[in-house]
Parts: sequence; C-alpha cells; structure tokens
Amino acid sequence: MRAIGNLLSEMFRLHHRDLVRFATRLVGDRDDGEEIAQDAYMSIAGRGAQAGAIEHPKAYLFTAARNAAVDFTVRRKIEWSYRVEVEGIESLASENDPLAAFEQRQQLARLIVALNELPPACRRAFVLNKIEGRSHQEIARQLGISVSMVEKHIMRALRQARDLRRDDGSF
Amino acid sequence: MSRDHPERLPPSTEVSDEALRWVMRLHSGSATAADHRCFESWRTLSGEHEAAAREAEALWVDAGNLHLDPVTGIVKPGRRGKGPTRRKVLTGAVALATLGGGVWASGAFRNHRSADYATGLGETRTVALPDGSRATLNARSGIALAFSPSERRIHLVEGQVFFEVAPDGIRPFRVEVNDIRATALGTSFDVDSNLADGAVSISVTEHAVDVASLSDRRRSEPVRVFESQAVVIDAEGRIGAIAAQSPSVTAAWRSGMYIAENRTLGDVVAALRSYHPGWLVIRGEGTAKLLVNAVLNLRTPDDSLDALASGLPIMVRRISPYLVVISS
Repeated sequence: MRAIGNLLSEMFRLHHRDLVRFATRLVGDRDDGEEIAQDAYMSIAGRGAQAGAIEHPKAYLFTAARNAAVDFTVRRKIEWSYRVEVEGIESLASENDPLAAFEQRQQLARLIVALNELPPACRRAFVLNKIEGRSHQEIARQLGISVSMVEKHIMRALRQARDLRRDDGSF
Repeated sequence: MSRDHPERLPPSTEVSDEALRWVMRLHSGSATAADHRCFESWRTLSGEHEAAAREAEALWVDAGNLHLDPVTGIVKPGRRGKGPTRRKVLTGAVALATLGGGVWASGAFRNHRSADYATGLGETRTVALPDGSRATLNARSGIALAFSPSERRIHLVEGQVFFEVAPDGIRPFRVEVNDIRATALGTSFDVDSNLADGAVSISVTEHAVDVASLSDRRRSEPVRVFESQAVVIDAEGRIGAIAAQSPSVTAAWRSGMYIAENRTLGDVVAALRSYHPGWLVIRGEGTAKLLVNAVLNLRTPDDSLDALASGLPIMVRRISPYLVVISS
C-alpha cells in the first residue's frame, strides 16, 4: 500500500496530460478540462487510505474525472439557463421539488458526458439521427460510411449512455 | 440505484442491448409497421423485457434534450430551436414505438398509418394544423392527419389531444379513434384514449361535438355533447351517459395537473403512465375500481403515486426503477 501523496504524484506524472485531454473532450474547453482534472485528484485525495489500495490507478483516475465532469456539467449554470429558455428538462421537474430537478439534471449530465466520451464519428452519427432526425441511410451517405457502420456507431452510443445512466457515480 | 439491493437491479445487459437495438431500428427511418409489432410483442416476453424497453425509450427521450455545439463539436444540454431539420418521419416513429400491443391487436392500424405529430414520455406540445386549428398533445400521444377538400379528418393514434378548431363552413373537422368519430360543431374539445380498459372520453370545453360510434348498434344517431360535458365510450364502442365536466378539469393536464373527480384508480394510473418512465402495474381484486378524488402533479408521477397511497387503501411498491406495483 502506498501513501496517498505518492499515489497522486505518480498519477500526475504518468497520466496528467492524457487526463486533461480526456476531461477537455468531455466538457469542450481546455480550462474546464484542467479544473475537472483537479477535481478528480481532489476526490481521490478525499478517499484517503482507501485510495492507496486501488489496483488500476489510471482507470481509477479516469473514472474520477468522468464523475467530476458529470458534476461539473450539472453545476454549470449558463448552459442550463439556456436550456430553461428553450423548454425542457427543467420544466419537467416540479419547481418546488429541487431534488427531482437535480436528479433529472444529473441524468442528462451523465448522458452528455457519455456521448462526449465517444469518438467524434460515433457521436456525430448519433446526433444526426436523434437530434437532426436523419435516417441511417442519409447518415451513411453524409459520413461516407456503410449503413451497418452507422448502426454500430449508434448502438455504441446507446450502450455507453445506458451504462453511465445506470452508474451511480460510486467506484 | 444502489448496488446493495439486488432486487432493484436493472435489466441484464443482454436484454437491455436487445431493447436498445429495437429502439435504434425503430428510429432508422426505414422501420416498418411489422417492426413495431415485433417490438411490441418482444417487450411482453417478461417484466425484464418491458423494463428494458422502458429504459431504452426513456434514454431515447432524454437524448432529445441536448445539442451539438458547432464550435467545440461536443454535446451540451439544451435543445436547439426546432429547426426544419427535425423530420416528421422520425417523430412519428416515436409514437408508433410506444403504441400498446392491444391497439395493434384491434387492427385499427393495419393500413400502416403513422403519426404526423407525436410526443414522448412526459412531453406535451401544441402544434398548428394546416387549416389554422391547433392541437395540444399530451405526453405519449400521436395524431395522423387526413385532410381532403371535403373534410378535415384526424386519427388519434395514441394518447390524449385537445383540439381548438378553426371555423370552416365547407370541411367538417373530425377526430377518429377506434370506431369512434367526433365531429366538431365549431368548437374546442378533448379526446382521451388513456383510460383504463381501452375506453375513450370526449370532453367539450366550447360549443358542441357530435359523437358517433360505428360499433354501437343501439344508436344510429350521433350523440351531441355540449360545453362543460363529457362522455365515455367503452372498449366495445358503447357510448355512456353524458356527464357534467367543468372545462377547468378538462384543461388541467395542459398545466401539468390531473384533477380526479370520482375517477377510478385505473383511470388515474393510466393518466400517470404517460409521465412515468417505469411500468405501472395494478394488482388485486377491485384495486383499479377504487374511486379517487385528488389533484395530482403529472410532472412528478412518483410523488403523485405516494400521495394516492397516503389517501387510499393501497400500497405502492417500487420493485425496480422501471417497475412499480400498486396493490390493495
């Protein structure tokens, strides 16, 4: 078992660059990515001695970053207020039930982080289908890939979204 | 969901993957009516299948609440404006995807009709029809238009819709559901097929509506329903007695409320189903027939179920996030 300080410095030394790149992909901004990386270290530090026993430090660190990205997305006010303006998730939740509103936000934040973690082509195929209403054939033509590849992309996106939706954030 | 409670575990990955594959296929843009029927029978295979289907549908609906940021290329919360890129063909598929098996079994949609306008779980929407009339769709509802030079015919594919009809001296405005035909006499009215046991109710908030049932042999003439009145047509097509119903009760769901005045628990739960991501099951002799007087929030169906449990001799058990059993 290693001391938590050693573990963190080792994680930082070996994985920091990849971690920031990963976190940036999840939230779209390099500064925010740095912030999320810090949050990930903090959450591991917060686990104290428990953290020293982990077997796969890199996977552990990246899971912590993914959770931090979900929390970050839930917290980020600007985008959610945009959301309210347009209509939607916020209006689904009762205004006097902040817990339900928070849970709905959390659910959507997980979905967003799950999709952002996907390779760009996969995410693009999903968004073209779900958000822009394109058929699989149209997407295949637009992206220059086969229909079965489009389906592989969309299934991957759905599975990833499902898995993170079920994940309660503990690890 | 906690990992400490195995009885609350979600459907297995294998079954869930199948459900996701179904949802993907039904939104491919080339799904057939047969595909929809297959999915409807697939989901009845077990409680786990139904739960997986619900989870996949909820996931699909949630994903409508995001957009791709053109600058960063990543997904962010919130919808873009409803641009013309959003195609009707796929939203129609949503409505068909959520159709109950019983509707298919009735043969009402053997002609492969799909919805022109549809809403998903917990979503309501008002649409302007080509003649200037307006239709407000409750959650999980769909309509198909069949306008011609001689009439404005609308099929209620599923759910509940409130119509505000624009006057047109030549083309009557008709809403059809099952074998029931409601003809507007310059008016606004509500058609609800979300009742227990396959019944349909028609409630009038302005002027009058003529209600005819092709399968009601006892009546050859349509029944005229006036403002502040409602009528229920049962699954066999029998038109019930006309009852008073205040327009504010009829309109409540459009504000996210459900007002139960001597309604059966079966009807109340049927109304909540369009807002609850899980499968609501009523068990036990007479449970569905319990009479309810309550004002419920449709946007928080779980709280509403708890409110019902506190005032009625019933128990609400959450077997999983996707399966709720209501029993005496």
